[in-house]
Amino acid sequence: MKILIVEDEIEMSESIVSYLKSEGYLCEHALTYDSAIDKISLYAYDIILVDLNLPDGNGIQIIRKLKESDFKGGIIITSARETLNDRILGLNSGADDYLIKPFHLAELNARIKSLTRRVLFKGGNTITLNEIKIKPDAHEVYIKGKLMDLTRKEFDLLLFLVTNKGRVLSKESIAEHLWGDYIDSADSFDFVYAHIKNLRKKLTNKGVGKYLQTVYGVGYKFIEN
Amino acid sequence: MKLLTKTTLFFLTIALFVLFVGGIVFYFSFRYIMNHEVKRELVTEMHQVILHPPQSNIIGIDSVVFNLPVHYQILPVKDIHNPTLDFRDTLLFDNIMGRYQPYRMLSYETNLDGKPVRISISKSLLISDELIEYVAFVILLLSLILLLFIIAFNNYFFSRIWGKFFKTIDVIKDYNISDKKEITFPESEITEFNLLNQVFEKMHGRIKQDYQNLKEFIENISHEIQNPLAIIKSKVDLLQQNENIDKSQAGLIQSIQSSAIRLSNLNKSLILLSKIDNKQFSEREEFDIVENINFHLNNFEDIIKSKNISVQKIYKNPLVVWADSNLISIMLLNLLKNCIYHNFSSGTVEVMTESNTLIIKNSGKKLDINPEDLFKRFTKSSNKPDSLGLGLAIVKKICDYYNFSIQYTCQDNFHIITIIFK
Repeated sequence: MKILIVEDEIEMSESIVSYLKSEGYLCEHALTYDSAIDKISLYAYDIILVDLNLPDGNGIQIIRKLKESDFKGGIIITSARETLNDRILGLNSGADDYLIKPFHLAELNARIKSLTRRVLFKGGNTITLNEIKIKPDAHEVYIKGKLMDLTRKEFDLLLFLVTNKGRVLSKESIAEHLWGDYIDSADSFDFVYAHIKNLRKKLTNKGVGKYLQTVYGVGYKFIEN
Repeated sequence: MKLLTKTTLFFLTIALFVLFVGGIVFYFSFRYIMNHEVKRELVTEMHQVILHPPQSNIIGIDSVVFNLPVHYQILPVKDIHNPTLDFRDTLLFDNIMGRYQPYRMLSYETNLDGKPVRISISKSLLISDELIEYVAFVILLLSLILLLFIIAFNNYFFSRIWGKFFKTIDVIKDYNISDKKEITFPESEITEFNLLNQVFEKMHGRIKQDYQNLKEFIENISHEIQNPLAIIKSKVDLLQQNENIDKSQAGLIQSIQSSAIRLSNLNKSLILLSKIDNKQFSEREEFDIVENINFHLNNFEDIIKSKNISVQKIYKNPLVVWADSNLISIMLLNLLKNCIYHNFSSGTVEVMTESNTLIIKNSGKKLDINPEDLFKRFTKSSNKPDSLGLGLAIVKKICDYYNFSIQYTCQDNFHIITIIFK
């Protein structure tokens, strides 16, 4: 799977590349509008991350060009612009998702995975991790073939953990993923803890292995053994 | 005191003073002139008497009985003691009127046919007194008319001349710096007012420029802060994946991350507040408050369950507002979030709509801050140091923006927020 990161902040771009590479993606990055246009005309990508504010152009133009050239992959906008209008403009131009900066890399990873399922596998795929089988679009989780009873937030939490398996997820990134913006994350930590506890209990009751680990002082991690 | 009252009083005081002093001066000078005139007439009469001396047989006749304006009296005297003229005021009996009347008398001693006599010529002052009274009355009447005219004209000119000035004041009164529309001052025929308008226009231009610069500065800086924050956040994310970090390092990373997130949230909230200030939410649509409340409560469902909070929804009627959906949603989210986070475990939340009023009531610890400061920026409870203290400031700002009235009351351990959507 090949991803192009169009981002003018070199540090930001390096972080993203480093995180995504360890997820097994092939990454390339473009720092300017021109180099982005060059790259998309020369190579094929599955997913493109586009920053809207580029020193020599607008990310929206890149998306329009991609759509004109019959691009079949997924497009995610990453931008510090957060008004509803910007979002609508971005999504109307043909982007599949809109991620507001600053974001957690785990969140970006989850969005990319979700986009991959939606766009490349047309939503038909399931995520399997040992005895756990998740059908993201149906919001269903099966343990050893049996449907598991989870609340909506517990489902979101499990999916977030599984898509970022092997990664340490901070309480902050989990809180932001579950409740979104305009939430004081300090208030949400207790609830992240409560959710993790409930989820862990439910998984253990179903006889699932101890995949959900606490990383002391940082957060949580889902491991595959 | 109003300028009109002040100037009218000033003019009235001056007019009254001038009229009073003028009246006194006029009265005395008029009296003097009248007296002088009577004296002159008496002297003329005396010369007539000297030129055409009366027969000595009329000595002792008192002509007052004939009620002539000029009255003669010739009385014999033993000797001529005092040859000088003697003027004096006197009262003589008027037979017709039946009372004493004021007279001016000239008396002198002389020889009439060799007999020493005292001749007194008297002239009635009645006419001159009446004249003085009449003139004084006319002057008083004129003074009254003058005073009335001063008041009336002062009022008229005041409204005429100062009208433009008050229009200028109205323009400034209605002036709102965040308003995009230009302000124009009324042109006046008075140079000073035009000067005032020019000064205001210049000042307005400068303030607007400063405001614009400040606004752009805040927007730019808020925007530019997001990028480095995004980098910090991503680097910390990467750092956390490192297998080799120990507990104390993990703690450091954790606190870098939570500070970066706090800064980012703070920034977002401040951007939101400044956007509301700049009236950047001009789009309006029909927005269902009840539906949005249900959506947020649904989002918090697990938290509500884990805190064992009982939520009671009493929707007496649908509540729809015409506003920016994003803003109203943020407002409701902040309110509902507060009443869940700051609630007791096993507490209660009551959401009620009634006509155009939304009431959110929740149990919770008594405030350790002044309720009046509740809606101010950066007001936070001492036991929540990590909280931004901007949530309710944003709520208040949104309410002000749409002219909703918001009120906080506290009863025992219940906090009640009442919003009236106008």
